[in-house]
Amino acid sequence: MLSTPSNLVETLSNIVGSRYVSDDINIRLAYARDASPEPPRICDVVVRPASTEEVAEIVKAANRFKVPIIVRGGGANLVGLPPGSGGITIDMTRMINVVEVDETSMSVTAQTGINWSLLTYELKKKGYRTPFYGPFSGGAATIGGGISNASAGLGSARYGTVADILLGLEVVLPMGDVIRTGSGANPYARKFARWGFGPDMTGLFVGDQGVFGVKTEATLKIMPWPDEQTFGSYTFQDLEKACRAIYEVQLKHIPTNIILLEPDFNRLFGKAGFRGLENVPFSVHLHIEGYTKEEVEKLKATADDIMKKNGGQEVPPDFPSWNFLRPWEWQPRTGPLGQAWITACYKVPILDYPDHRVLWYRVLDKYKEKMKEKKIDFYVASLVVENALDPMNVIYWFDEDEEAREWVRRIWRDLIENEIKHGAIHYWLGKVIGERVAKNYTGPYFDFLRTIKRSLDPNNILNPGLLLL
Amino acid sequence: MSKLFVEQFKDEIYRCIRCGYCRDFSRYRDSAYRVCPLRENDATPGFEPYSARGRLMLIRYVLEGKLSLNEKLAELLYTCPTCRNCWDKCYVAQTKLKGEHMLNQVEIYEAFRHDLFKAGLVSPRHKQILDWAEREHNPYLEKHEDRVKWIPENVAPPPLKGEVVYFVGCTASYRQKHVAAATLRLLRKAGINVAVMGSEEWCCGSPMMRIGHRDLAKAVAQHNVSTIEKMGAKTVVFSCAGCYRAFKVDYPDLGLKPTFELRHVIDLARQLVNEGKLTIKGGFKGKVTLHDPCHTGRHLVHLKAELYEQPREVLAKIPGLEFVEMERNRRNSWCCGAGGGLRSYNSDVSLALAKNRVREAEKTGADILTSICPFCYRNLSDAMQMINSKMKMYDLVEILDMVTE
Repeated sequence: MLSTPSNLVETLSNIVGSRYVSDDINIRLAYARDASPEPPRICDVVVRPASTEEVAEIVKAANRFKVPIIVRGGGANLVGLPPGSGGITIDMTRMINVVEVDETSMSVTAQTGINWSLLTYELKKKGYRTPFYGPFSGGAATIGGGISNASAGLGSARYGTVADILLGLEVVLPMGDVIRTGSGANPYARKFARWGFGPDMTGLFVGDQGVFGVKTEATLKIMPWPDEQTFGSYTFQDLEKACRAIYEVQLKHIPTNIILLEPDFNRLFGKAGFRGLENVPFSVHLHIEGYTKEEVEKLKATADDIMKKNGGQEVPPDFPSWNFLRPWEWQPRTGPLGQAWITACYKVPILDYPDHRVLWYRVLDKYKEKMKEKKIDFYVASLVVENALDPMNVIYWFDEDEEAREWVRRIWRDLIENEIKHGAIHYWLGKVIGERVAKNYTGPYFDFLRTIKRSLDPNNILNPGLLLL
Repeated sequence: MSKLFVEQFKDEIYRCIRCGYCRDFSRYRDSAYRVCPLRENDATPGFEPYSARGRLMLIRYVLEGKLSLNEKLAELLYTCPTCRNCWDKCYVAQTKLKGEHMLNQVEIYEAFRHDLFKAGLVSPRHKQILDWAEREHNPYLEKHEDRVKWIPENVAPPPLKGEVVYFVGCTASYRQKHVAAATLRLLRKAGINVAVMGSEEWCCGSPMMRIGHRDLAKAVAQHNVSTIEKMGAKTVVFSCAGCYRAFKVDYPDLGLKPTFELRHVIDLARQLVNEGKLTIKGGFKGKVTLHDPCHTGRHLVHLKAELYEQPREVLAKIPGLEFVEMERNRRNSWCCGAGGGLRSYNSDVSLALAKNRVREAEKTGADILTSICPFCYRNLSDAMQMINSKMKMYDLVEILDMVTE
């Protein structure tokens, strides 16, 4: 065995400076958990690089020492850290520079440790925004983490996911080589086109859970900041009609953001003073953007017709104006009584959702008594990702109750397994969801993935165990 | 191990959902650029426990018996200016349950610092300060008998009894004496025969509270309150944000209920100007930007007692003064790094924060930086010197003293 923590620390210190390396137990414990209820995974050493070169050297050192690397962005994941123990945690959040805003190619290149809110802040100064502008956790979640998880969220109704705005990457491969993908791989070209030579190499690293390389820079599309916006809120007695309305609005490609709230959230927001929500089963909330008042009013009128034709009753747009004027600030991330939360986001075709959601209640029925006893609650809100609905099935519990936490982990896993069987496509996977999803991708497809992993990462250094690789 | 003081916050600690917004979250809607000053421009190594999420996780591990109190843990908890920006930008903290904020990060850190102090994990420098303050009633290692030397020789000494008492504070008594002198002059110009406590004034207790010596903080608080009450005071005026906050927040927390009114001198001066009791004659030329202290801002917003508009209102009344805002102002004000015991615990980190704030002030193009706290003055002016800034620092009370008659 080549490695001992002491010479590993010394090696890493020589790369990034001793100030940014720590094997202290207090530091390591603070990196041992993400935002999920999963138990801690304690690494041997934490390192905070500032540059691609430093990341490459760290990766090379990990190969020499044969120790795993866990790459950490905002640490806001809800899926548990990779399996196993020990190794190096790379904290990417020192790498937050906006490298270039290229107005000619309408792109921004940034280091991947920058979070979505910070990137948006910097772009707004120049009058731009990315079309998809981050997951709801984007106040901490990094663009690197978003790409590794193929994130959906803000802007997804109109512009899709992070994959749809990605033009290229700079990646440190698992043996320490650095590559660029897209037109950035051509030394004579701007970083403006995703395809240029061969297949979509950028796509290889989207949703890869960080197992194929450490993303160090990303080039994303930008658009002029949409100065005009309007909002619409509609209540529905019938979920099928609400979904039909959302579907028809999506055919016209109108709103930037859509949220569907179900009874529990409607009651919660209604009680908090959001008009028209307290006693309704379903409500649909639209955020429409544009560049002139006329443009957004016209789009709103079209959406309005569709919503009303499908039985929607317009109410004051308190919820969407509150939520979308304050991006990233609200998630259903703390319960009304201060409970902890967990969820699993995934995609189902919009019109399939009414049938799909029935499965949760079948699963929850099994736990009804226990949920009541342990004060475990279940709420649902969905966002729209182009042709899909992306439900967040939120479970709340009091985290100081260890037994409740264990029941939540069990219920959560049961829900995920049933969702998968009902055609759900999860995208942030990590350990808990990833190992369940992976079981459904067998045969030549999984062999193909494994072949790529083994070829790129023969020592199985990067995020080992994720995607069951 | 006996029960920890911080256990009273167990519910709140478990409410942290580890979303990580307490670090670099930015809001374009109101120019809230980043959250934790310890992470900006590598002011610290920036590992998780240098911001709220990591600290709360470690305290939780301690409560669960998975981590013992230790020196490194103490270092991580004391390396924080307790600027309260993490509380201000935290979704959980800003959500209320039965009228109370669900999570109060700084109160938790300070309760835990009390546990660290009791466990003997206070730094040698802090121990020296606490020992000195217990004997000499100030944290500056100065003799108590020198406390009143700020009073200019050419003015009549203020009385030791009266309805309006100026609580000078240690920083303006021993270091930024010009702030105390300007305060006295300003109040006299308004016809207020302001009294001072003289040698009966003790440290307000803020340093003890910030470090975790609650017993000593309570003793000095009791002394100050009973002395002021004996002086016949109806109003106590402060020029120091830290002292003001101590009386407003810490004293009730320690079980004291002062019977007198608490006013920051800038708030009082605004009133006096509006009532015509102070006349601004003008004669000031310069471009000025304002630093909002944490202790008159985020530390008071839960009481709806923050002083954000008062200094701006005063500045707007000064002819010839061009006022310009920094990018981060009011609730988003970026900490100067002096508070929370950080200046005495780790002056390198403290001054790194101050340098970041001065650079932000420089970006406005202003030639003068002002504030309403001598302790902020101290750290920011030290940072100005260190980076050879061309800006000048004035306390706002000094500017008011210059322009009033």
